[in-house]
Order: sequence, then structure tokens, then C-alpha cells
Amino acid sequence: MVALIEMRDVKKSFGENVVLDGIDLEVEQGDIVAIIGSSGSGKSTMVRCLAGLEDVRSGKIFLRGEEITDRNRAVGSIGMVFQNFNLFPHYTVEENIIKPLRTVKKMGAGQAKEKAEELLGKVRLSEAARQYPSTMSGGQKQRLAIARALAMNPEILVFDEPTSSLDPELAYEVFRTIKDLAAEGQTMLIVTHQINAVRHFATRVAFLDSGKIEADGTCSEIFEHSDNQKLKQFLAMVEYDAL
Amino acid sequence: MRNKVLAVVLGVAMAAALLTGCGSKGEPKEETAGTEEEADEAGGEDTSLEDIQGAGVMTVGMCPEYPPFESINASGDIEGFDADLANEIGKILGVEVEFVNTPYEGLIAGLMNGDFDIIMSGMSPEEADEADKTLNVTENYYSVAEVILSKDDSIQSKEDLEGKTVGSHSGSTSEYAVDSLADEDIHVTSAPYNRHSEAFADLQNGNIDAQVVEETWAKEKVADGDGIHICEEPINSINVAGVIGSGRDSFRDAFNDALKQLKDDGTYDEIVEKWFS
Amino acid sequence: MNGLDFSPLAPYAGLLPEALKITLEIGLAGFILALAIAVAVGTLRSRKLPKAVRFLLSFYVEIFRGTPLLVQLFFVYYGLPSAGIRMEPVAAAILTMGLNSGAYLSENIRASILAVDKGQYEAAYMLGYTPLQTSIHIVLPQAMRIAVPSLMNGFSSIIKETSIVSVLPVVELTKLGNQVYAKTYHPFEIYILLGVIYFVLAYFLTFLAKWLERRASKW
Repeated sequence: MVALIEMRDVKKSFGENVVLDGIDLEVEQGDIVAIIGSSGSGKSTMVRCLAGLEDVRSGKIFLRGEEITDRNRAVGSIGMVFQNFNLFPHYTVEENIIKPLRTVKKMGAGQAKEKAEELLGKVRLSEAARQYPSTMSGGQKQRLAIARALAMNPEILVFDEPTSSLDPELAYEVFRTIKDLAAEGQTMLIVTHQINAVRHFATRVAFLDSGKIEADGTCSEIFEHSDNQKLKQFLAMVEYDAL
Repeated sequence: MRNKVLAVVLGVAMAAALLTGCGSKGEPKEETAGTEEEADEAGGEDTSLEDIQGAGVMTVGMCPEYPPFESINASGDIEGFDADLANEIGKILGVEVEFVNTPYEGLIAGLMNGDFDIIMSGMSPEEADEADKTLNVTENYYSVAEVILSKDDSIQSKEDLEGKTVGSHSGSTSEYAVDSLADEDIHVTSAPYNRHSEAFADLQNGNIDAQVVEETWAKEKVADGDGIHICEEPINSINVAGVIGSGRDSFRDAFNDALKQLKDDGTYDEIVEKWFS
Repeated sequence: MNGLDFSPLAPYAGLLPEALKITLEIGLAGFILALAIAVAVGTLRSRKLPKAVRFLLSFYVEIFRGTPLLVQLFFVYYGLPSAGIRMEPVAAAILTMGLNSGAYLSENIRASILAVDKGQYEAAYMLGYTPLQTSIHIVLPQAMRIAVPSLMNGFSSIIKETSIVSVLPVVELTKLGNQVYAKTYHPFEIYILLGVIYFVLAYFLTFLAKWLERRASKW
């Protein structure tokens, strides 16, 4: 069976600086892949290339076997949740979901509203439907961003450090939502620093170092049984930080 | 300054004509025909009088800021010597008369663009000539004396103006009068204003030594108690005429005939009496 | 100077509404035209464009910002007929004011568009918005809000600048003032009155715009 997502030898550099040095990754339907690694390892660039927000220098990206390296074709199939939320400030909470459905999917007003209500319920924001995003906490904003991305029925949802700008208790809210989605079988790719949270939902973990995937496996393979020196060093550092 | 503005307008107009290749007759002389149809007929017959009589309307460009020649009344209509004279000429030509309220600096350009058939706005033949020598000028229908106003009792004649600062209305007959002083070896500093009233205000404020202005205006505006006297001896007399687009000779001739008729039958004197006494 | 005496102006009071109407007409229509031009040109200039288009747009902006409004008015009304383009004085005034202010405001709009967070484009792109949809639905509403203060400035400027239109055959407020002045010779009274009218207009319209802004700024 063909993989949902396949990245083959993807390279990317900013000027002289090589950021991705040949990424190979396959994501199967239903996978929940956590991407970990120290900052500067290329995690964000990798998912941004996958999403089509950055041009790749070489290599290929496939969605269900169809090449999407040329950025525009992936649109709609890949949902993105950003570190800085990027909500639309001039729309209310529910409009953030309704308007894209109306504009992009040309959905009827009633149907779009129904969908928005359903999704806001799912991320526990029904109460805030009429507010503007500026009135909400960071955790609420990120949950709204997730609901907005889900509205387009993406085949895969990509998170680029979704909790990095959140306090721990707010980050917890967001991870709880991610866990709910995991239970529903939503395919996800999550770039994060929060190693401990990853254990609760990730089916796979990929460790990036200097633009390469150094290790790729289940949680226990990565966190407990890996021989990779770079990974061990990284984990030791992160756990030291966590203390 | 007025002339400079006019020059800019004409320059711009010609540049536009050159750029677009319209008005391709090339010579600015030929561009001055009134309306576009007439431009098309350039070199053909002069149908200006028939055109006006056919339309039943003679349009007159004037800047109603120069009483008693022309000004607006409380209902916003234009009235004055030029207006009454135009109406009487219209009667003889058998046409309605319409006034086109135009700023002074836009009169010549407006005439050339065909916005109206004739300028009757206290304009002298010299002013029309300076703008474009090919413009048609009617017989003079009035003559204005340019007089000297001053607060200074030592100024009683033009010779006394030597070395003084003298205000006038830029681009009008009054500025010509000030400029003409140099020909008589009288050296003054000329201070042109946009309007007589502005020069007059400055005269009252003591910023200029004297003002040159049309006698008619002076008599209407200088009041007892201003401390300002009108010198008895005028600088010169300047004529006033109607200005018509070039090549429109039949209209000019009809205008002159009508003017003569009004002078003969006494109507002209009545209008002069009404506005200038 | 003697005391102010407004009574000689009283007979001309009846002419005021018409002149005021024309001033407002030119000011409002000129502003609406300017706004439309500014949004279109500002949006275009905030993007990557073919060289020819970019040159054309910056040519327009530089020409109208680099020459006096007075000269532009003369050119449009007295100059263009030589090229076979003639229009009513009020139309010429509205067109010129619109083009002139449009050039200035387009720079404000462009700056405001560039001030909108880059993440907004990325979010819209990921949701499947086309570039045009992104401009219209996401970027412009936010840019307009950023631009509101400078747009209000532009509005009050345009109202005041309509006085330059008095060089065309249009009896707006300033022209009426000049003509009544020539007739009555009461410069202080007339220009004080004119000043007050322009001030009240500009102030009132700015106040109205602020009120609208406050109402609109729920987010």
C-alpha cells in the first residue's frame, strides 16, 4: 500500500546554510509522528517544506503517491497549526471557521455554521463562539487554530511547535485536544520540544539532527532502546532541562 | 503671475496636443478654433455667426470678481456693465446670452477649448494679444483710466512714484500701467497681487506706498475716512474689448455692428450711466 | 482695523448651501475615488509584479506626488481638451483630486499591507485561499484598520484642498468667498467665515470617521 506522505531525499538551504540534508520520511494513514530534535536541527523547515510554505532545493514529496513537490497542489490536503496561531483577528471565533469554509469550499451559510459548532464543541470552545480571538488565552487560540485546520478535512494535520509559546497548563489543554484527535485516528505530524507529552499519543518518533533523520521508531524504541549517540545526548539534555 | 499661469496652461495644452497627435495641424495658431467641429473645418468657411445663431445662444466667459464690470449678486447671478452690454448685443443678434463663470486665469484657455464664444471680462486687446496674436478682438467697448491711490500726501502724480512700491492686479490692465512707467523713466518696485482688494488691503496696512487701479474700481471702493486719496491725473487709459477665437470673423463683425447700433441708439450710454456713475 | 461686521455678507447667505454642496460633492466623491485607487494601486504595489507594471504604477504615484495639485487641475481641465478629452469642471475636479490623493493614500495602504503579519498569508495559503481571496478577505481588512488614521488625515486634507478647485469654473466655497469678497470688500469677515466652515467640515468629518472606526474596531 502506498504511504499517505512520502518525502524522498529532500534538501533545503538558506544561502550557504544547509538546513535539510536529505530527508527521507514515510507517514502512513493514522500515524501520529512526533518530530524531535534540538533547535536548528531543521524540524520546522522540514514540515514547512512538506506543507508547501517553503520551496525545496531538491528531492521529492508525494501525497498518496502523487508528487506535490510543486507547492500549490497540496493545498487543502495538509492542515497546518502554527506556533503563533495565525488566527484571523478580524473574524470572531466561529467566523475563523465559517469564513474559510464559505470562501474556499463555497459551503452554504447554514452548513458552515453547523460545521463550526461541531468543531468548536470538539475543541471545547462553544462558549467563546462570538468572541474575537484577541480576548482568548493562548491555549484557547491554539485549540481554535486546530479546529480551523480540521474544518477543511485535511488528510494530515501538521503542527509546527504548537505549544512553544504557551505556559505549561495551557500547553496541556492543547495536548489534550491532540490526544482526542489521535483517538479518532487523525493522521498528524507534530514538531515539538515537549518530549514527555509525546509519549501519550505518538505512534512514531523521528529524531532530527543537522538536517537528517538520525533515528525513527516507536516511543519505546526511541526513548528507551536506542543506541544512537546523538539521540542519547539530546534526550539527556532535554531531561536535564525538565528537572 | 497671471500671465505665467496662462503660459503654463498653454504650454501644457500644447504638450498634450503634441503628445497625442491630436490637433495635428501643428501650429498653435490653428488650435485656437472654438469647438471641435470648427477645428475640423479649419481652413474652410467661417460659420461662426451662423453657428451661434443656429444654437440660439451666445456664451460669454467672464470672471465675476471685478465690479462694476461683472460681479455676482445676492442670488448668485452675474451682473455688471459687461453683462448688460452682452445682453443687449444678444438681443440684436437674436440669441440668448449665457454667462460662464470662469476664473480670470482660465478665460483664454477656456475660449480656446470652446467653453464659450467670447470673453467679455474687462480684458484689454493687449492682454489678448499677449496670450495669442491670432485671437480676434472686437472694437473697444470701454476705456478705463488707471489711477493712483495712496495714503501718502506727497504722492500726487505718476512722477511722485519714483522709488516707491506700487501694487496692482497681476496680469490685468493695472499691472500693464505700472509696467509702462518704466518707459517714462519712472522706476518703481512693482507688487502684483491676485486681486485689487488684496493690494488695497496692503495699501491700508501700509505695506505698499501706492496702488494702481481702474478708476471705476477706485470710485466704488475708496470711501471717506480711509485716509486714502485718488490722484487726479491717471497713469493712462486702457481699452476694454471682447475677445473671440481666431478665424471667427463673421461673429466679430456682427458683434462690432451690434455695438455700433447700441452706441447710435443711446442704449450704450444708458448702460455706462447705470454702472459707472 | 474696525470691528468685524458680518452684516454686508448676509444678502449672499442664500448662495452658501449650493457652494457647500459642491465642496462636499467634490470632497466626498474625490475621496471615494482616491480610496478605490489607493486600495488597487497599494495592493498591487505591495506584491511582486512584472517590471512594466511596477514602473507604470510608480510613475503614476511619483507624477501625482511630485507635481502641484494646481498644475494637475489646469492640465486636466484646460490641457486635456487639446487631446480631445473634455469634461465638466466638477468631474475634472473630482478626477484630479481622486488621482492626486489616490497617489498619496496608495503609499499608506501599501505600507499598511506590508505591516500585516506574514503568518496571515501562510494561514490563508494553508486553508486554500487564492492570492486574490487572501488579499480581499484577510489582508485588506486588517491593512485598512492599520491605515485608518492616515486615511482620516487624507479625508480632511481633501476637504481642505477642494479650495484649490476655485481656479476652475466651479463655484465652490472658496470661489464663492472670492466673488463675494470682490463685491463687498470684507476680506476679514469672509475669510474668517470660510475658515470656520472648512474647519467645522474637516473636524466633523474626522469626528465621524473616528466614531465609525471605534464602532468597527471590535477586534
